[in-house]
Amino acid sequence: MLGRVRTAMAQLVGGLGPAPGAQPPRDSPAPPPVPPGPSACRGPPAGGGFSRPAFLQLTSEELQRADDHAGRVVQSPRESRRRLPWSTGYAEVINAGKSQHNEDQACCEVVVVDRRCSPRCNPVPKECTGEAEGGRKDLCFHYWGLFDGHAGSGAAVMASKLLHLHICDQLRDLVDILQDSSPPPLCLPSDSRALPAERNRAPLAHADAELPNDALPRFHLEKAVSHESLVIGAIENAFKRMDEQIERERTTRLVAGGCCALAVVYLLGKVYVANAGDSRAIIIRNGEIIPMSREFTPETERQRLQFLGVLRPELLGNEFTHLEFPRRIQHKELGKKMLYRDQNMNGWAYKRIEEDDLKFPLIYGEGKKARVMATIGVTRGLGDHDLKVYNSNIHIKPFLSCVPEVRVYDLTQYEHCPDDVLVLGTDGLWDVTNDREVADVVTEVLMGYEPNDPCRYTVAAYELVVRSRGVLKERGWRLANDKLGSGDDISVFVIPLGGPGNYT
Amino acid sequence: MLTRVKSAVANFMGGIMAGSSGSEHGSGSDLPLRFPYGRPEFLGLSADEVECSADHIARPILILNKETKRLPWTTGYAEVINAGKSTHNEDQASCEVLFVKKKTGGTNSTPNKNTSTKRRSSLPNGEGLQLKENSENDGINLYYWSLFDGHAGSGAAVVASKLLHHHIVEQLQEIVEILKNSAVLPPTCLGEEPESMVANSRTLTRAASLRGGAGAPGSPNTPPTRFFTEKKIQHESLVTGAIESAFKEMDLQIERERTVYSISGGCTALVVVYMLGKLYVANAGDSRAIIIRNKEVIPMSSEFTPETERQRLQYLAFMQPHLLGNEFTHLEFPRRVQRKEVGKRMLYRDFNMTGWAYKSIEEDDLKFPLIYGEGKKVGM
Repeated sequence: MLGRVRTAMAQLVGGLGPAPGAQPPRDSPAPPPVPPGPSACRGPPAGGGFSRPAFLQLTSEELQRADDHAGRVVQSPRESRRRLPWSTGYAEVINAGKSQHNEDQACCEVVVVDRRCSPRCNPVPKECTGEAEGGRKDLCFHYWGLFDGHAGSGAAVMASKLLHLHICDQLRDLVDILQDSSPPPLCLPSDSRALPAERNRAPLAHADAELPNDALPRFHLEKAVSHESLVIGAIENAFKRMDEQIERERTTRLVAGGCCALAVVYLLGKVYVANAGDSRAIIIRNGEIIPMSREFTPETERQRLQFLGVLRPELLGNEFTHLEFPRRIQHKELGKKMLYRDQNMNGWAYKRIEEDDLKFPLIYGEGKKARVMATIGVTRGLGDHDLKVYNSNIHIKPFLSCVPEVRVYDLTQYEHCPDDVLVLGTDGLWDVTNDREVADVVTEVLMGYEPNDPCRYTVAAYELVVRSRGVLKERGWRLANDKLGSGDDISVFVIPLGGPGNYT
Repeated sequence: MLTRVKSAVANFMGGIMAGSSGSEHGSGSDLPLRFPYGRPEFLGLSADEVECSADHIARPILILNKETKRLPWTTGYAEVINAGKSTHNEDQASCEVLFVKKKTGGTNSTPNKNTSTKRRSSLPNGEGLQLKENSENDGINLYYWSLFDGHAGSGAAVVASKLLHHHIVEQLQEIVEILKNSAVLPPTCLGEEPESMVANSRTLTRAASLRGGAGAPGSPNTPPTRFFTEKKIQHESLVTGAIESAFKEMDLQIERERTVYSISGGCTALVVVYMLGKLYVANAGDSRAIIIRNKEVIPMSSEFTPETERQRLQYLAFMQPHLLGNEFTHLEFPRRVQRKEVGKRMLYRDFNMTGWAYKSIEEDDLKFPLIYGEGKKVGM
């Protein structure tokens, strides 16, 4: 088994990514937005060379520098170029050699959602003015996304270009409902897509309701559904649609590999943080740390994975056991009693070892080394539809989930100052820097800049990346305390939560 | 507890629960009772007193008899019968001091006998931590408290209150030697030296897998290869595992014995075990435990209801649709869907969603939702 995995890794790093030798795009503007859905997709194939986030607006020279493992120059949006919405700060750096290109991707957009045809992506305006059409306002949201690709950058590139459009698509039905203070209707009229000028405000549930049993008193149980949960549902479904699109188009678009996805949506006063993977988001508010995500790894998702192995044993392909053991079991231990843990257990107990227990455990390893099916160390994300256990026909995708956990933060409940921020980072950052250290760096940097200096957040992001990458010494990239720096791709957003005119 | 079970269904499906009023004979079965009905043993009530306490109007509160009865750790207890929703008080409780003896030459205690437990209903000074009656060398002392909330009959709660602690002792007996040896971690394989590393156990190199690797071999940032060999399991995990197994074994025993005895209904179970300096609170149901310490409240349990377990239940129904018997849908809707709404778009929530969204209603969506209730009554 060990031999298999080693070979698998060598293959993945070397060969499955985009075609080597392709020309990187020169100074390319933002590609046209591709409307999601069943219609034929347009836009460049994800497999052609490599790319960095469009908002960096890198020249071809800068692009080469961004691709260089030896120099590992940290990239940030230049002050002279177009500023990101809300003066968002961003910085990224390539890995130290573990993959040919930087497999992280990022996206930062302001998206206008209208009810009718395709969604528009406005590259210019920083504010949502909500232009009215016939008296009704359009809905608009701010969006940030981080995508940590593996086994190729195809999925990450595709998600960075399309996920926000799927979110837009899911919100289209809700444009009027979300801006109306009354509770959402339980039932929409059949022709809800072509709304008449006067919207029927009476909830249809009450008007049409009939009770299943005429003998009952004339009332029924009805659950109240909040506006917030509609937005959460829209984001959850957008992730699913994005994953479905990757699955459908992976052969035509040469989408390789998979990616984690961390997406943030600001809409009508609330910040929605959606995480599927091992990236991380925290809010730093008045020095206090508020985690806004949790990581999805074989350790944190153990019971879900084991349960699936129990319900669908055929997915284990006769190679794996759903039971967890502290180590591999040897043949000579048959009949002996050993520690094990089943899907409905949080503790451990002893069991007598049978033949089946000799198989490789579905979940094996600890901490950063925990793996599902000896292959992958993160259990949520997009893509990976073709990922198999090396030298076998066993698919890993059934055990992965593309559904994010969504946490909501109400911006209106607190008066934020310019030093209050939301920090997003791929695991390259969090592997070597803990929450407290991140908060301290951000505080330290922001102290050195005027509150209304728009570059302060970029400098904060830059410092976070530099201090996690470390400095190249004889024994590799080293942090200030001489510990090993992060050899992974590192990408960071620093998003201000307060300050005048940052959001309407 | 019964309210939750009964009203959610009875109002809409015409009372599906047979024998839901504390009947001791199930659905007309003439099997003998596993144990006679009563109140917790430590209350020491006579049969007459038990009958008098079953007064749904006066609802006398039963407490420990101050003069003669004391519980370990001077535990306090009080109970009262319901206001009329079932004939009997379907709660049960037990409180025990137990001794888990080391296994000697293959003798095992069985759950039906008291060979490895010694029960004391009172202690000279009320503090049990300095027990000398059983030599500590032979095993471990433990304290046990439990509450069982029965529904659809009191049989299961009575059985659990009498037998669950035996299962806990049986599970702990297997590991008591390991637990007593606090300096050494539990061996992965029983019978082997705890610290031995099996020389040729297969391992996973750090770099040889996706994600988490700090660098490919050869790059300047590859750390020296560290092999993952063995997970270290703590003593506490073994006790947790033993309690989890005991619950499973108790449930299996009830299942087996239902063919021979009348054991009506079901029950929740909230169990507390004190052992070797730690309190383990085990909850299966909607009972609740909190610690109050220096005016601070520390929750020690979470409730398991269709709302809190929604996603697990929906997922199971989705993966094993035959369990729904063609009567239920695993989807959640804010209210019952009506036939004329087929083709319209309504709010729904699936197993992998925490938010809600609209979907077009199909025939299948008319079935009764697996999870239903807890909404507000909306008038016409």
